[in-house]
Amino acid sequence: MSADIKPEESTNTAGCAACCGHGDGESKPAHTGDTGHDGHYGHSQHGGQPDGQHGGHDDMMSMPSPTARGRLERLFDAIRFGRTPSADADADCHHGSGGGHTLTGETARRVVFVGNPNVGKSTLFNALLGAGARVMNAPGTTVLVERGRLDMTGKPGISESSAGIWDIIDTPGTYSLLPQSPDERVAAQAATGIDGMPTPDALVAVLDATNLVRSLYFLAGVLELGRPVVVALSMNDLARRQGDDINPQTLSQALDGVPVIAIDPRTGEGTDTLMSTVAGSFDGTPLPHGLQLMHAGNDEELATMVREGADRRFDWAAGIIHRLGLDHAGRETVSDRIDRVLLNPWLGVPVFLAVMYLVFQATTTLAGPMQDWFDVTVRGWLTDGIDAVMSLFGPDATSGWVHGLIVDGLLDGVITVATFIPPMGIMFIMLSLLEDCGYLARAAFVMDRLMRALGLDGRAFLPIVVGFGCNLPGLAATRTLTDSRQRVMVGMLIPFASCSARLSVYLVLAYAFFRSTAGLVVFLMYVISIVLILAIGVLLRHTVFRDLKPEPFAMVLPPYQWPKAVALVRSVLIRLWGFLRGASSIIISVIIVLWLLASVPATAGAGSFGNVEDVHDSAYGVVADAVAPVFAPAGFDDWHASAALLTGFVAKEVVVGSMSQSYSISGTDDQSEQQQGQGALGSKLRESFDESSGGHGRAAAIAFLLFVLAYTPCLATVAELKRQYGSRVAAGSVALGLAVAYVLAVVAFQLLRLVM
Amino acid sequence: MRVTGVRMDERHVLRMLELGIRAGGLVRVTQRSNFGGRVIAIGTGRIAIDAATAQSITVRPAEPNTHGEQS
Repeated sequence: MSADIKPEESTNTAGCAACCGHGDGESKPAHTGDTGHDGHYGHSQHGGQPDGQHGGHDDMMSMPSPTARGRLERLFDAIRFGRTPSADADADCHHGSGGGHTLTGETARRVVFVGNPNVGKSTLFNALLGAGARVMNAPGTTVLVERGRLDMTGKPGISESSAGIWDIIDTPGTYSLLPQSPDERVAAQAATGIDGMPTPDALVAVLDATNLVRSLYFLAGVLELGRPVVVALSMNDLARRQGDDINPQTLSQALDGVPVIAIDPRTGEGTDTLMSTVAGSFDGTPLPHGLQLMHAGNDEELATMVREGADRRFDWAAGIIHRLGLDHAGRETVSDRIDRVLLNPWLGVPVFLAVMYLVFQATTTLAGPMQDWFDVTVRGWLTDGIDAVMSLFGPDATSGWVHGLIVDGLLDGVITVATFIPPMGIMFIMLSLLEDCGYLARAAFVMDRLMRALGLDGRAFLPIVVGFGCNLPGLAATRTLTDSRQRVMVGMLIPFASCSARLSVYLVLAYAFFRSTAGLVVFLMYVISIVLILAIGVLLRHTVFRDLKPEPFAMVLPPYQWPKAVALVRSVLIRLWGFLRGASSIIISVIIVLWLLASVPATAGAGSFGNVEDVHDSAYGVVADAVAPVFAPAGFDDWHASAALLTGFVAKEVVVGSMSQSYSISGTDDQSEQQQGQGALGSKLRESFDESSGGHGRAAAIAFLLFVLAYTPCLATVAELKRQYGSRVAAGSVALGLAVAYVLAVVAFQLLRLVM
Repeated sequence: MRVTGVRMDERHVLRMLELGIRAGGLVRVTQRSNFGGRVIAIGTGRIAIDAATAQSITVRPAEPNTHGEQS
């Protein structure tokens, strides 16, 4: 029996806005390109996804005049893609509907890719589209969907009638069309065309050859939707190695003629055949007997359809497998043998901790020298270069405010952003390695029980551990969490992990106030950091994230594989680029603002613009003075302290330097924090704190340290939070940090002043 | 071993089915983990489950004439 399925013409303009997230007045940020989620059935995403555009093109559609942000984005886009995408973005939106028209007047086809997580779907998608893939939010969610447009005219094997521009959509990996998480819901909607999403003209079901039972069950559901379906059979090399390889022709026959194309997402093999097969399928593909055509017009109908037919579909899948002679209990694989060690009840946790330690060390130790290189060497070159250029304009040019703006403002901003590249880059590499080889899934399994107490997935452990080195890569690591809600919750916890930049501040103050017990003080800060994470985790769990229900843990363990170097490097570079684009505009602009404040003389005789001698006499000093009284209950209402905290809002690395500057102490750049704490800076600090706290300097110092621990780590983290989760979450995190920090500082001071 | 039953909420039973675990299916335990978790093999796929889930799945030894018998 062969159902005649014709592609529908859909001119649903609400669907148009819905599918690409434009035109609804709200600018949504794009996140790291991540499309492999399946709710609580944690599953690492396989392969690299491009970190496509940032929210820039959203700005263009929804606002008549782009913001400065949007303009910067478009500049980056022009550099990156070699064209301004504005015209394309327009075209994109109106192609969302199945029957739209392209710039050239030809019919656009909508092809949606669906499949289980970890089958190489995204890798395949990117192999097809290359850099042309765009990441965007499904409307009203934080779920990412990748789309792209392919011009199929003139491609081999494509007939005239199906040529033209195709709209290709990649969906989050899902095990079922009955969604149990926001990610799966988006996949289901994209596949079925309900709830405003346009109906697909064809579906490509990417199936895992090593897991036929699951794959065929999933395929059954997709086939019953009634759209044309082409099967892309993936993971064939693995199946072959396990002795279970399937001949695509045989499978296609067993499926009563549904086209089956073998592909290798990593090499791109088979993709041309796949696309030409899809081109030939728009008029319809067969429906194997044993399956029934279902109509699902909305969420409920879909849910009923999935539930009621589940057993029948499973029977059908089992039948096919039996006919192909592939049903057996399986034999032991190499992966099983590796798991015997890595998942051993006694070795599992220690191995995991060892891996964590490695990752942590790599992101801090390896990154350190590279960061210094940027901060010192590169900065030196560029400063010298700027000096050389400016001196061409006359002897006064290098001491004027323009020079200050460029060197201390713009250049400082650029260097600050650059210093984040090493830890982020290393983090992305390690993460991709762990994910691609398959270990990350095991790690989650090992830590699962412990994280369950917090209502979190086992994989929440890694981002938090990385966060202790540097929050920024820690936040980036949250993309491996499958549940969007969980990702947000962990993202809000990571800023409380005490990073290495904060350590520099702890050291100076510890040595200034607690000479002999300095080490103990620093250690206690880390303990408090851990306690905070647990406490806030429980708090969030019971308030904002009450709906994170504990689910049975059942996770698919992918077989171990060697990560492919090229794909790895490509995905890392793309993710790095995404982070840079997001963070740089914020960081650079704020640093310039701070420079401005410090350059504006606030009192007579303080100096001229750009040449203010004492920082206290500048606008910056005025702001610091205005903020200082807030900290009176915490014992450090001194302008030096508030100035330091203001700078610390941008980045903790510069706090010590700016403290020295505010006390007019110079020449201490080469000293270690310990030396500085025990030297001139230390004594000045003691003076200030003793005065502001009425003699209880040490109590105030502890309060200050706690504030530094808990409040916003740095502007880069805010930028990353905004990029990954949106402005609301970023603002919430900042507010939470400030509130917790303030409460901690005040309580600590009020209690400790009784004893210190 | 052959699965004889999955004792869970209906919603979770469906989930298990979608992963390949259903009454009548053939499975094999390949690994025991800390805290009582298990890794089970379904054909060439491997699924890691926690202790509670493992206990809700009842099994009995499979019939001797199924090929690819357990190790």
